[in-house]
Formats: sequence, structure tokens, C-alpha cells
Amino acid sequence: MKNTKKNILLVEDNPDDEVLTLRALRKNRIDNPVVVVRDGAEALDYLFGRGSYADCREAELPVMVLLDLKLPKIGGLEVLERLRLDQRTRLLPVVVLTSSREEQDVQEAYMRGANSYIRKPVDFNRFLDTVGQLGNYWLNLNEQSYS
Amino acid sequence: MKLRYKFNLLALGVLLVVGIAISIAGVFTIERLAYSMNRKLMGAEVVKVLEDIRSAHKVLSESGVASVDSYVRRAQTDILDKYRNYRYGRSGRMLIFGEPDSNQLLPQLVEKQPLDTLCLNDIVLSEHGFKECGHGNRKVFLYYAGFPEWHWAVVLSVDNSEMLAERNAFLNQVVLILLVGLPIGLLAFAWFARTTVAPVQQLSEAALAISHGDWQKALPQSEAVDEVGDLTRAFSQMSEHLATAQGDLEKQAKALQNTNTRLHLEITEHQQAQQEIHHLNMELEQRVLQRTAQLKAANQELEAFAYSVSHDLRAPLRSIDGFSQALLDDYGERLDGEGQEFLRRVRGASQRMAQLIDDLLYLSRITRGEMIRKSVDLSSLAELVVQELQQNDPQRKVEVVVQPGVNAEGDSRLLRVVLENLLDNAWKFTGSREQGRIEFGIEKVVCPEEAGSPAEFAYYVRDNGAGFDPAYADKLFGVFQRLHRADEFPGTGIGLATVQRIINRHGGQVWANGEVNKGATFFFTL
Repeated sequence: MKNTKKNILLVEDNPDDEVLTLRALRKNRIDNPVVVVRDGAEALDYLFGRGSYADCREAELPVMVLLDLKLPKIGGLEVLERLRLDQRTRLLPVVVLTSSREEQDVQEAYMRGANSYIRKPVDFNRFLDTVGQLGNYWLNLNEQSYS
Repeated sequence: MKLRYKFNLLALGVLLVVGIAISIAGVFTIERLAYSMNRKLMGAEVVKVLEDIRSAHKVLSESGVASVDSYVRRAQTDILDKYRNYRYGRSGRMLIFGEPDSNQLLPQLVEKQPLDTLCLNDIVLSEHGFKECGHGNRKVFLYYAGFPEWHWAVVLSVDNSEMLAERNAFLNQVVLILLVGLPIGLLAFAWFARTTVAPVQQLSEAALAISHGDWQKALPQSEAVDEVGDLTRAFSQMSEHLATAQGDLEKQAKALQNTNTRLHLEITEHQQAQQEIHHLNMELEQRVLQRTAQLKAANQELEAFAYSVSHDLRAPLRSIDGFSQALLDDYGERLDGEGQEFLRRVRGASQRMAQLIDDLLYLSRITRGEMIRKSVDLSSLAELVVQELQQNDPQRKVEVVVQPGVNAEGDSRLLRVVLENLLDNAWKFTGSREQGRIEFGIEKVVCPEEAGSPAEFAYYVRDNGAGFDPAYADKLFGVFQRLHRADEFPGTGIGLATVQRIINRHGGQVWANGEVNKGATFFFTL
């Protein structure tokens, strides 16, 4: 079994969305531990073992990052850019999970190295499907690079 | 010094010099002539006396008594008597001297000439000649001759004054002539100067004045019939012509100057107008820039708003839908059928609202993006759209007639949206028909009542579907306006609004004809 115990990092500032996303993961039987951070700065601190996460750096990088774009302090696109500039997180799978369907956002996200871009549907049942497929793809189907 | 005076002086001088020269020459000539003539005349007189003496002596000689004193004395006395009262001119005296002691025989010693002894000492009796004697005014001229046989000397004496009488007379005449002639000559020259030189000088002064542009100077007038008069008149005439010509020239120059001034004024006005235009243009440009900036700002605000709508308004909807579903999932068994139905309605409402938001964003995006105009094959586009509709709804049997070769100028992406919406509507509203029929093409139309200018040709999409109540035709194209209930025909009412936006962006018009249950026709121009 691979990946089972690896963390999923959820970067989400909206508590409702956090609850619904966690529920969707659970409903899809994705039992990886989920670490939730609520802004871009915290996400970077966690991934680079800085600030309040300085002690637990020993933890592995998450199996994937679910990244909202509209975030306090440091925006999702900037987080993405910084991750791609750092050797350690250059290849980390990042799925942009957002409300926006603006063409510009989609393009910017891919230009900065997003692995997927998914718009959260309003219909919860469709959201369940989406998260299910997402987990299945990134946790089961996709072969990770172990750099 | 004026020419006139110079001329006068010169003439006077010449006259004087010539006159004096002629006078002097005349005086000398006349003097010489008088001398020579008197000499000859005096000689002739003396010779006559001598001939008388000689013939008396001859008679004595021929008679043989030449040496007899008494005869000789008688003969001598005869001779002396003969010439005793002799007169020559006014002052002439015949003097006869006898040897040996030079006695004056004649005239008898009434008045003895003191000169005689002075001048006649050296007279040789055998000779004859002419001699001047004395000094100052007491001067005499002597012609003398000797008769040696008797030892006589005959002398004719004439006073100097008589000798020079002719000359003095001439001299007097000359002086008289000069005295009379000089004033006359001067007068003549003055007249000449006045009548000839003065007009010429006036002419020259007038010419000089004219050359300096002084036309006011009085022109010389002349009544004279000579060449100077002709010249003066000709000059006056010429001056008058010149003055007239000059006047004309000045008038023309003035007119030219006026024209120039007017032109200058016009040019200045023109320049001012241009400057004003330039200024206005600048202002306009500035205003355009300002408006553009404002529009840009407004557009950015709109985009930010749209982004916000798309992102922030959807989040609560997701929560409403998500938590309603969570309630149904986790607590569904605790709710009765009605409670569950309410939750489903909540979910339906939130999803519809999400759809509305999406449609709104779509509409705003249609209005924003850049438009690229080019020739578009509408017939092919319509065929393509119909094919997709048929594929999505394979059970439907709809007769579709697309007029081939219909082209248009416009943005192909936007025109596709127009055809998609119109054909989709036609497809949707013919759903209740057993035999649906949809047509696309171009045809000549009677322009709609509200259209300002009549459109000759319009594109149309016609169907035999549900149609609409023409009373509400004007509401067809409003955002979220629907003429049918949602449970009859699905839709958010954004389609035709989108179509109208696109047609407006192309500068065209869109309108519709229809009746309930008798189908509808949508026209548009580009």
C-alpha cells in the first residue's frame, strides 16, 4: 500500500468549504490525514517547515495540495509560484480547487505549474463526484515522482 | 554761383577783352596810317616847294645869271612870297632856313620857333627826311629837304596833336561805341539769360525736384515760341503725365497695400482659427483620453465585480447546497417527506441561482471580449450547430432547412453564439410538435415598426414551435425575461439578451415575429 498514510494539505479559508471538502473526502473513503491551513502564508510555512511548523519538519511532504486561489495574506497563485521555485516542492502535485472560472485564472494557474484546475460546483453531489475522481486519480492512478 | 551769372560775366569779359583788343589794334593802326599818310602828304608839299625853288634856279641857270646875287635874291624873294601865307592843316608851318647861319627866312621872324635850333642842327642839306622833335605834349613832326645850290632848307612842321587827330577821333568813337554798346550788350545778355538760361535752370530745378518726388513744385511756364519754350512746354506736359502716372501708381500701390493688409488680416484670422482648431482638438483628445481612462477604470471595476460575483457569490450557494445535502444524508430519516422536499427545493434554488450567475458572467464576457470582423459562412455554421443539437437529442425528428451560401461580415465566435442561441430556442420550442420544422436563411423584409432605417435583407431563423404572444415581443430580449414557464421550457432567459448584445455590437438589429402556437421568426441584420 502506498500513499495511505500520507497527508493531504487543504489550503482553504472558508470554513464551510473546509467542512464540505472534508465531508466529500470522507464520503469518497479517502482516509489520508488532511492538514488544513487557512491562508497562503500558513501553507508555505507548513510546506517549508517554518514559523509555527518549524518543529514538525520531519513530516513528509503531503501527497497532494488542494489549493484555493482566493486566500488571505498570500494568494493561491503566489503560493503556487513559490512552490515551483523551490527544489523540494517543485514536483509536488498541486490541484487548484476554486470557485472562479475566469479564463485568466485558469491560464495563470497552469502557467505557474498547477497540475489540475477544478472549479467547485454548487451542486454538492457533483462536488462529491469531482472529489472522488480527484482522489482516485492523484492517490491511486497517478505515479508519483519520488524526488 | 548760378550759371546765369557765370554766363553773363563770361560774356561781359569776352566782350570787353575783344572790344579793348580791337580798340587798341585800331588805335595803333590808325596812328600808323596817320603817320604814314601825313609823312607822304608832308613830303609832297615839301617836294612842291623844292620843285618851285628848283625851277626858279633852272630859269636863272638857263639865263646865265645863276650866280648873280640880285637875280638870285629876287627869285628867292618870289619863292618866299609865294609861301608866305602857306597853310598846311590846322598847325602846319612851312619853314625855310637859309645858310650860312641858318637864318629863318620864312616865316619872317614874327614868332621864332625855339625848337628850330634844337632839331635842325644836324640836317644835311643834301638830304631829305622825316623827324620827330620835342617831348611831352609839345611835340612836332618835321619833314625836311635841302637845296644845296642856295643853301636852303625847307621844313614842314606839323603839331603832334594834329598828327594824331584821326587817331583820337577813332579813339573817341570807340569809347563812345563801348559806352553805348556795353550796356546794350549787357541788356541783351540779361534778356538772353532770362529768356533762355533761366527757363532751362527752372527746368533743371523742376526735374531735380521731381526726381526727389516733389510733385508740388511749380512747373516753369513759357509763352516763348523758341526751342526753350518748346522744351519747357514739352517738359511741363511730360511732368503732368508723369504726375498723373505717379498718382495712378500711388493709387495702385495703395490698393495693393490695402489688399495686402486684408490678406494679412485673413491669414492671421486663418491662423487663429487653425490655432483654435488645434486647441479644440487637443482638448478633445484630452477629453477622449480622460473618457477612455474613465471607461477603462469602469471596465476594470466591472471585471472586478464580475470576478467577485463568480467567486464570492457562489461560495454561499455551495454551502447552502452542500449542507442541505448533508442534512438529507445524515438526518434524512428524521425528517418527513415534506421536510425532505423543502430541502430539495432549497438545493434546487441554490443551483438555479448558480446557473443565473454563470449566465450573467457569460453575458458580460460576450460584451467585453475583442471583436474580429471577417467574412463568415453562416450556412455552414448553422449546419454545424444543428448537427450538435441533433446529436444531443437523437430521438427528435426535426426538419431543418438551411439556405446555402449565406455569408456575413462579423466575429465568427460571436455569430456562432447567436446561431446557437436562436437555433437552440427553435429546437427547444418545436419540442412539442410532432413534425418540427426549422429554417435558416436570408430574405427581403419589411422593416420592423421600431426600426429607424429599413433593412433590405435580414437573416432569419424560423420555426413552427410554440411561438409567443406578440404583445410581449418587446420583452423577448430582456435579461432573465421569459415568456414561458420554467416547467414548460427550461432556460434562464439569458439567451436572447446575449443575442441582442452581440447584434448590437455588430451595429445591427434583431427582432421577432410570432403568434402563440404558430411559431416564431427571429430576424437579424449586421
